[in-house]
Amino acid sequence: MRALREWMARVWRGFRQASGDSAYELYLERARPGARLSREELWLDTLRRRYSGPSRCC
Amino acid sequence: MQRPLSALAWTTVALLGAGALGAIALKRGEPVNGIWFVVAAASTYLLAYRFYSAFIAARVLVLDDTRATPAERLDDGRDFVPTNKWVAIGHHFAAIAGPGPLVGPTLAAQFGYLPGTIWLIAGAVLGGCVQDFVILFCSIRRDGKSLGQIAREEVSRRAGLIAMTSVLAIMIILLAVVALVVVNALKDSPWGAFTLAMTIPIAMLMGVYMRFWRPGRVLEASAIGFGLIMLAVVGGRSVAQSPEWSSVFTLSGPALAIAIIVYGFAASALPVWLLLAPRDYLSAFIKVGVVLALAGGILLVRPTIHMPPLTRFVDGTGPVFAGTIFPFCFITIACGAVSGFHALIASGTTPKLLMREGDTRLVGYGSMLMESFVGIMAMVAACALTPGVYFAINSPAGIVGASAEQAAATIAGWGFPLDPQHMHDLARQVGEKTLLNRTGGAPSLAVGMAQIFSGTIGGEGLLSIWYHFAIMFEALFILTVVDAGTRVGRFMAQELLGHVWAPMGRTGWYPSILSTSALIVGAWGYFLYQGVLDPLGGINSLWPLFGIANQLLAAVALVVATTILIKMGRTRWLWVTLVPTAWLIVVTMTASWQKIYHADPRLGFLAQARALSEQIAAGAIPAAKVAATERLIFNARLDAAVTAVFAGLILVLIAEALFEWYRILSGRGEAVLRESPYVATRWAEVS
Repeated sequence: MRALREWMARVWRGFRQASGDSAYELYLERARPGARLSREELWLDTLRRRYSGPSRCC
Repeated sequence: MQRPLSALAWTTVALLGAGALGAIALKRGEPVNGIWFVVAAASTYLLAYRFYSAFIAARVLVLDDTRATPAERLDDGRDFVPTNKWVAIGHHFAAIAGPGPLVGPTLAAQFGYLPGTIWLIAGAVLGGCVQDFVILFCSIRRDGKSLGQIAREEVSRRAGLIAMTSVLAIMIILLAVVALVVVNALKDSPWGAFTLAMTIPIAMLMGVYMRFWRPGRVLEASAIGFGLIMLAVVGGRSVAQSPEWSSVFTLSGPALAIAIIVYGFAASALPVWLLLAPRDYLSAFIKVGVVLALAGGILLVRPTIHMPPLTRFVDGTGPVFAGTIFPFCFITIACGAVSGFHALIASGTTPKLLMREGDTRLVGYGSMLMESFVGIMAMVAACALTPGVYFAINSPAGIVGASAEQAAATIAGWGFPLDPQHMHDLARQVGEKTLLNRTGGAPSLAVGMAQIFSGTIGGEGLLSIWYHFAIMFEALFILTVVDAGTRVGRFMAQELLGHVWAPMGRTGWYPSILSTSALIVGAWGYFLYQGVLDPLGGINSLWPLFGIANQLLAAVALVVATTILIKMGRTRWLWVTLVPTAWLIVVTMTASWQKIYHADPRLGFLAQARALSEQIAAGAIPAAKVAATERLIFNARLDAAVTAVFAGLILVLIAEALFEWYRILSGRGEAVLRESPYVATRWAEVS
């Protein structure tokens, strides 16, 4: 039962990461403390970068 | 003990695949079950992934997991983010899977189920997957550089310029043709038009939610958006049944085209968080969900395939589009087997995510296998329709007539019986006034999908809901391609014009944003509008043009990949990229030549222009239609010129690459490989 719970938690984490839902938590793990963006700033920055190059195919 | 077991397991998969392929290829005169398609494709993909991709990884590319990837060396938590390979494959698949593998196989079903199915499987395994895999590897070895940059550095400056110009030109044709698919699916369909119109305010609500209320909470906003969209799909029935509202949302082809052009301009010029991004998130979730549901539905319903393996239209006289099985089956299938556009994604975001070089195999090769599988499911859904219904939906009025009775008589003459009453009943069951002459592939695919879904949940009572859900799904993610493509085209135009006048290169300067958005939207909007007015349905001209452009871009990517393999000294294994390159060049050049010069006016653009000119000269065109006919003549000549420019650009690039190959292989020049220097990974677990 515990193994199943852990597996489901892992799947949920993967799903959140794939969808971008946990992007801010992941960013905080890596960003230098002095130069951290706010959640809103990171969201806008992510969108700007994603949609300035080919992001969707035919 | 483990080795014999493994050998036994893979032998079983091989025998299963061979049996399934035999079942779909050799059965004549008796119905085939759709499940054989799934088994044949899945077995071949498993074998190809296990053996061929492993061979490419080990012998051709010699992937090195001790080498730090750009995601590790340049990790900034924003552009370069080390990502689990299963998460990365989700990202990559969501990016590469567009409308092409759904629409292409549906259109190619006019040749019968067999040619398209074989090409979907073989083309992906030997061509499309190889291209995606190798380009992803090349980009990861060069800090995630784009295809254009790699071409410039590894082939020549001119090759880089040609690659970038081709991308922009191809994007314009792509946007026009996918927008045309939406127009043909929604014209005179108040239910469909209402549902799609509702996605705009829903996306904007999601945008505001993720921007101001709960920044970046993608899952919450998408769940709200999905719920509202399902309400819009169900509510669309009431709109279609209301005399007042029905007339508001009943739009003609030209009116829809203008609406989509205006929408494309707005999506390009508005802030990305407001419309483009939320729609994209919603579309990605629905896309993955529908693909999984369709796979499950096919397994549960096990639909019977009614289309014959080969139809009489292999001779080029098909009503859906003109052209013989070679080269047009391959041009039409396009993205489901090989897609040049994937090289842009494989040299875009994805290489900046991978934690190990070895992950390129799963993400590059594996994602394309999944895309090909989507194409197989689309083929099953289209071929599960009776051929009479398939041709009645996908043939333009100019060929089969505009009434069910005329269409039934014409299609019965081709050997496919069709009861006109059945078309009326089917239209009523799916909640449409008519399903006749809905060219473009989307409506027939939606009927096929709706039959599979309603066979799983809800029965015939829910057929209309499932049909409009399928139409919403197709239109939603096609418009996402239109949004994102227009925006990228705008950035490319700003970059190019910035060389002429510096302020135009400032991406945040509003005069530049508005003028370049108008330029890009005007370009694809022109082709869209011409397609809407085309008496042969538009798809007949534009889809092959798109297919040629897309496959030419694949040839570019593979030529660049071959150049890199030569520089790496892997000449022994050059056939891995050279064989698909040579095939694509032969196919695209034959198709280009035929589209320009073929004597049949339905196929050759110049012959079409000549035939119309002769009709005007002979007085066969009524005076009121002369101006419109002259426009058709201009458009046919323009299409011929566009095809010639595509082919010419690629021939120049191939010549550049051949010169470089000769220079290196003959020893006249040094092979300079512009890879990033080797840095050992700091992650211990790779050993």
